[in-house]
Amino acid sequence: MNPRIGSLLIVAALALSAQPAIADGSLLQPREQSDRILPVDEAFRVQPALWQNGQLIIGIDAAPGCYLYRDKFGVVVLAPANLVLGKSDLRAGETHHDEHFGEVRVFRDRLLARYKTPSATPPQKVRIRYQGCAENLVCYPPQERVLTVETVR
Amino acid sequence: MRNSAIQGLTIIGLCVVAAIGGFAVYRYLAQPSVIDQTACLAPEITLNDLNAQPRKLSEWRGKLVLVNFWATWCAPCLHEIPMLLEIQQQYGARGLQIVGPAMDDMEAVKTSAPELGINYPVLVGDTEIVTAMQALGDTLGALPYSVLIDANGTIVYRKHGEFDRDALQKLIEQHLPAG
Repeated sequence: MNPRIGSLLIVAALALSAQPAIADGSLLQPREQSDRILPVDEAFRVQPALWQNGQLIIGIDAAPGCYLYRDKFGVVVLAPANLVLGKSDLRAGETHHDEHFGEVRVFRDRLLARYKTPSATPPQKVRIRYQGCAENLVCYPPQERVLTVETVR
Repeated sequence: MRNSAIQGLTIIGLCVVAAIGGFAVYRYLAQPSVIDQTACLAPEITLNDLNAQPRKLSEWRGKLVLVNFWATWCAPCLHEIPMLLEIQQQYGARGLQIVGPAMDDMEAVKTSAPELGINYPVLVGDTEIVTAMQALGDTLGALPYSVLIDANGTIVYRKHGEFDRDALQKLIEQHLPAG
């Protein structure tokens, strides 16, 4: 048999043997997405709350393969009392089709929201809530964190 | 002629080895994300059912118990439940009992459980569920979370994420009570 034909046969056999894995996507997806489920604080890293240029800035970074629901995110001022935040500039996020919940808006890399206050009074302490999932793996219960606001000059 | 035959057989052999190797790699990559297989006695856990009646996990001692923590807001949980219903149907007579504690409010679960056609006991709670999950070895706080407890009350398997049906069936067959 021609050695070239033999080599071709081997390559073909390798390709065929890998086909089931390619077909279900397991070879094409990042290993960390399919093989490792992160604790919630690694899946979603809450950034320090900042007061800068008269704005409260809240950020949460989502790990690769994880996403945050837009409508599950919220911020409440704990101190000073009675300080109410204005509307945020939170982006619309991207559309995610969920088999059970239909079209939902999510953030996959970073959720970033800026708020103004009526009298430009800086909040000192805020409570944020958020919720998200690791795509096709797990979902995390609603989370709440209390953050002390740092002033950045 | 003889050399050609040897060459041909060698190539066929290499093809078989390559195919087996490829399949092994596939199986490795496709295996479920198992946390561990710790053999320890399950602690007693009490949670309310949908009638607000307290139910103890030890109530099902003597059966192979699959505790599947879920929630109505958890898409992977809802995706997994139809398969669990079939598994309960398939193995119930041989001693499997699935129990589904939901991390949710009572009304949401009372609505969802019948819609999903859940044919096994559903328990419900909020922080009580978190505590129960932790008592049963959860370190991630993520759903779905499943714990398999054998007839003697020993935890034989724990897992976050959805089960692969074949892997679950194999696991159940391994641990079903004798007789």
